[in-house]
Amino acid sequence: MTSPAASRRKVLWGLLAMVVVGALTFGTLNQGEPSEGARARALEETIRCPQCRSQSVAQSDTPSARGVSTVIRDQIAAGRTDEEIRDFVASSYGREVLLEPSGSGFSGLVWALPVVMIVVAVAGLVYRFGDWRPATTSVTAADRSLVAAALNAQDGGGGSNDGTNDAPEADDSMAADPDADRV
Amino acid sequence: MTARRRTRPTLIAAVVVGAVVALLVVLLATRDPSGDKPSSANLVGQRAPAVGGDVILGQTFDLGASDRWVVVNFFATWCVPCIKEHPELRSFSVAHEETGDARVISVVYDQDPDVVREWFERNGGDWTVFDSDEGRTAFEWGVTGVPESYLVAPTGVVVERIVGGVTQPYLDQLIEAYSGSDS
Repeated sequence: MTSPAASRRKVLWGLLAMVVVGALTFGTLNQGEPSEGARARALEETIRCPQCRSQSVAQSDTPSARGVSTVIRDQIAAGRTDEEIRDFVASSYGREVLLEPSGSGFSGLVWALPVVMIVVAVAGLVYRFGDWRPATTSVTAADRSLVAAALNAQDGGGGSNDGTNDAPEADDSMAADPDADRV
Repeated sequence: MTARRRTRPTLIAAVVVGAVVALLVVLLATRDPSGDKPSSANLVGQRAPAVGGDVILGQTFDLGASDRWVVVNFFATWCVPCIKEHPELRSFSVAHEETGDARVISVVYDQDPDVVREWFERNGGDWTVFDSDEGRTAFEWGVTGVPESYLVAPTGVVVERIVGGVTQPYLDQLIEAYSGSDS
């Protein structure tokens, strides 16, 4: 049987998970359709200038970068998807011009593996530490009787222990601590 | 007992991670490094792409319908090696105009057509010159700089890519060499 505190904690974690999932879903799905110019610009940032190598098409003003830019706009106007356009550019200049790996095929592993690893790591942590609780000290009946005996001895014997009591000598801190009963 | 319970999942996790890493190494070591599609760097041996764009000098020319050897030359008048190779192309063109077995066509690389016309008037050359078509033609051929030339066999197949300036003897040598093969 779970305590009310544990149930409350579970509810809070559940609520937090729902908020995170909801925010991610809303942020992902509610972006609207980008304009053709914005799409072209975004694609240009993911393709390297074939001539200069160290800059993207968006950053470069070389003739080959402008040529790629023209072709990207042609392809968008022709209704191609981003992935098809990136493949088309790669068919002319090789896949090394793609600054971001493809989302499909073998290159897709670059995107999928980190997610899989995070899921596996979280699952491992939950498996390993799921039943972990902070160490607590519970007060047993024996403890209570020990304290009671010590207090009685203190009241009756003027603070001295005459040895007639079976209970062991009470610790001063236990007797004096008003919170000794607290967990 | 508890230690045994915890060791087993750790061992399983280690084996799984090890297997995944080994699988990735094998995939990376054995996959084709050139990617999924051929790039224009591998245009040699493939059918020549079309040369689009407007004809700014000379007569209209359809590369696909040609029954001669064709030197497709990408150039710009601001490019010093292009200026240096121009007399070589001119003498090649004149020599093969007489024999009728080869010709030159040029494609402007990012330049105003009027400047090119004026430059040809001053420096000679009466072959067909196409404008850059906003970089589309250079993109189709995978050109990243000038001068760059391609030798296309009468069959329409690209047999050689020449990065840098050309000379008439070198072009003649290539034609002679490839004429003996099944290009």
